[in-house]
Amino acid sequence: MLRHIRCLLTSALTLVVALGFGDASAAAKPLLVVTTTQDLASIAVEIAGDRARVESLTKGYQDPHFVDAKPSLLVKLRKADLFVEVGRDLEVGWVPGLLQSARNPRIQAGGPGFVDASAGVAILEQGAKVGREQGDVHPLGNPHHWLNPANGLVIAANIRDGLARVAPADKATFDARYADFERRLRDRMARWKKDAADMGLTGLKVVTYHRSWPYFADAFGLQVVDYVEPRPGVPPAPRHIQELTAQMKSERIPLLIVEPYFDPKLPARIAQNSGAALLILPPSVGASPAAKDYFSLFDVQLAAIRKALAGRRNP
Amino acid sequence: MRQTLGVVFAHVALFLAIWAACATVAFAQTPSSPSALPAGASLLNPNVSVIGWFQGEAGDQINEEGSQAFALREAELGFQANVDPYSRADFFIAVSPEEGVDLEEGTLSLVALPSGFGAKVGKFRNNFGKFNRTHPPETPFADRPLVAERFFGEEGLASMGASISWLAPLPFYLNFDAEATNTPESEEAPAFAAYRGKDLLCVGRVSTFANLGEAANLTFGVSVADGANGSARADSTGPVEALRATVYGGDVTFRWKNPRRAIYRSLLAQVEWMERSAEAFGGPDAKRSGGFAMAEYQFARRWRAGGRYDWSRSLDAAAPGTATGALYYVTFAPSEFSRVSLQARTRDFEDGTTESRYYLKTTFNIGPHGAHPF
Repeated sequence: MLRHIRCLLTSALTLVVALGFGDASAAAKPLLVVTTTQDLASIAVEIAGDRARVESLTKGYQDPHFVDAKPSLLVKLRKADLFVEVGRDLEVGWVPGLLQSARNPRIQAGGPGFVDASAGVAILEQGAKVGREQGDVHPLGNPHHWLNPANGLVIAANIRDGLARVAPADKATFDARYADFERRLRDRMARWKKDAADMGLTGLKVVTYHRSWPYFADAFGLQVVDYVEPRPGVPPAPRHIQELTAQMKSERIPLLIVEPYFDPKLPARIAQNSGAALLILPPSVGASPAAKDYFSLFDVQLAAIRKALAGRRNP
Repeated sequence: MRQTLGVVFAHVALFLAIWAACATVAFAQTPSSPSALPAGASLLNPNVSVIGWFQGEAGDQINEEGSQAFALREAELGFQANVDPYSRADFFIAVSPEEGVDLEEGTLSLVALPSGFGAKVGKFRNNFGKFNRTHPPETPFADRPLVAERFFGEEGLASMGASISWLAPLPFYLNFDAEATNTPESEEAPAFAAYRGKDLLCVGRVSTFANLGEAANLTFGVSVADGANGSARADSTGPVEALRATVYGGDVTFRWKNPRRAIYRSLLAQVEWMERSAEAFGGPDAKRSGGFAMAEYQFARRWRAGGRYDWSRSLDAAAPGTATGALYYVTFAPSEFSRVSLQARTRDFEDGTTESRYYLKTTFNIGPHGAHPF
């Protein structure tokens, strides 16, 4: 019986101690915005300014599909006022479990502090019949939507609305910062599109490693004709590599774009054999030191493409 | 008897109070962000998944009753969904030739509790150590470590009850779990045996985590499980109090993975140790301990190799010595959703007998993308 009481006391005491310490001081602190990627974090900084501290759970050089749900990430989520995810199941392998264990009702899906950045974005590759025979496909459409700067505006609007839900008193600030961000981004978009057209990207055929680039291709006129790994998550068969190399050679495809988190050995061989330039292109803010925010990400990407095209061996 | 009932009621009352508190807090919030829900009415169905586990076995003791060379060890059906904004339900139903249809886990978890609390009620795998929580098809092994088998049985320690956990508001991870569940039968978990039906099994666990730079990390945990051991202290009027058994456990897990090349190489190493101390009527407590150490290296994108060393004393107080064992395996995962593993195991028992076994474990998963285990 004594032990039964001890057992119950442990539960009760833990409860009392926790309620006592609680989060009573949380209200006085600035907002904590936690995002899954550095792209979202960069946009959140633009909208929140000094009204929030913004932290990303991952670095831009990580594959956002494969992130370990480390308990240290829970510590950030537990205190978060706003949580922003890329959405469309990009983070399905690690975010749902973290949210369930975060002990933070504010940021659960459907809660005021939950933002799905993909809401309202024109999602590509959506509605097609999907099955695992196609590999680790995303049934809700292609999730790499931040790579079209036009979608950056939708993401920013989603974050603005989320911030206004959790800090309604600062709504005017968020609205003003969004308007400023929109003006600057539209300005830069016009310049990026002109640069892309000037360097001949319109209609330019490229091959990419993973299906990460359809939004980027849409934004700047590239035409993605095939993939090194056509079935996501399933290493390519040797026959596919042979056919792809032959196709790239015969169609004189100038660029093979690879995300920095994939082993470049195989793509380097394909590039070598086909005459294309191998381009390791940062897909996210933080994936290279120069891509330090959402604006410089596109600067860096376009500059890298310009350099790769200049150095190709099959012009 | 009345006292035990009181304890059960007190636990239920505590649980209900927390639930009520959580519902009140959560009602005060404005639900929003409809975008969080994907479109389509069928998406209100729970997530349904099936994990299949086929196994081939060869080697010593292959002819023991009911043992066949090839078997469907288990088909695990999972049904998971949010119940409402405050709770979610997770059901895992295991179908196997030996057990028939068995509720492996079935829990209602409260997700909207304030102040870092979590709670669940239902049948669940007790949060003792690291290995016990993993569903058998999802462990890297075709068998269970010797100590897990001897202390907690073929299926591991699992029972019906309630659990409260608390994530401390600290800059690092520190989590507390407290569980009160029914005491499993000794055939299920030999370390415990209910003397009376209402005897409770209480489990506590404290775990913490430390990053060692960007690529490596350590998880530590200590656990304690306290329950009836099937016998009772008696006086002239008959039995007066059930005697208890307490199992203490400690576990350390080391992980390494370069986040810039996450899918290609990784290392996992784990040591888990436990000791059981059982009250004996008219004698000193009987102490028995055991553990296992394992390491697994992912040497290519789809390949892993690993090994495990086991040691454990028998719970039988009369048995001297320690049994040891070793398991070696190579696992190939064609994709994230299937794996085939070839395993070899040797065991040296206390009485000098040895046993060798070979396994082919095949598991696969259909349904929505599950979480990557950590």
